[in-house]
Amino acid sequence: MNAMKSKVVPLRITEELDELAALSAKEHHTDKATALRQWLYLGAERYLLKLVEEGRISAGRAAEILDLSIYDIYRIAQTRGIELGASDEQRQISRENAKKVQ
Amino acid sequence: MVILLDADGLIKLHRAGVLAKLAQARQCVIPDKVYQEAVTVGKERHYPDAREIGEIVQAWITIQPTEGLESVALHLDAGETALLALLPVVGDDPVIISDDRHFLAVLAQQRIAPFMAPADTIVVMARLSILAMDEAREALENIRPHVRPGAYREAMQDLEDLIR
Repeated sequence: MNAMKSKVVPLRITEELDELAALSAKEHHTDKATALRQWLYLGAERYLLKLVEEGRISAGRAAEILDLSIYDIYRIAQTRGIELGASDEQRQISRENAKKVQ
Repeated sequence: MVILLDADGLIKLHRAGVLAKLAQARQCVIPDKVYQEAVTVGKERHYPDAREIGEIVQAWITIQPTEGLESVALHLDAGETALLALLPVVGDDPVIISDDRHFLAVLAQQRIAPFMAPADTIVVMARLSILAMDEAREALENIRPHVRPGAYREAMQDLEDLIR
């Protein structure tokens, strides 16, 4: 996958979350910053899948942002019971177009 | 008529089991970025579809370079953006096959080119005798887990209407 640029984002969090991140880091044999990034990533993944479901971004674009493949997006959507695909209105247009194809 | 496919269209028609037949029956074109997305990246992640799709593409589908072609990305991926850039140069009467809700919204809003969802493509293939009816029914059953329930139902109804 593409090498993605990174950015430093100062972030204020509660002490409780900070301790929780430290606990997660210890359990997963990593550091606190990595634990926080993993949580952020999971949140971004959930949000992006919602945008894809709503038709606000394409599945492929979501894959690019998350540094995944489009196959991964399909798999994650299926695992979470998220329906992807054309809307009712788009399907009507598709069916009309299909009638004209020779 | 030229058929253009994005990664979504390629993958779903392959999972339906009809991609090779479509590509042999009609001129199909994909931009290089779609090949990268559906085949190259898919293989890197060890998805078996990717290798199979790659073989079909190499045999029957034109991969069009898109370096230097301009397009505007509207929350679209590189493949979809490249596909839009390809439209002015690909020939007459292009039809885009995709089931991506956002990409189809862009196509409809900008009236760029007609599109067909993969399930409706299967119905067309049956109507044009590219697929036999039982092959088309099987293809719709294969694609059923990958499309919305309404898409499957309507396509199956349209298929049955062909023989009435």
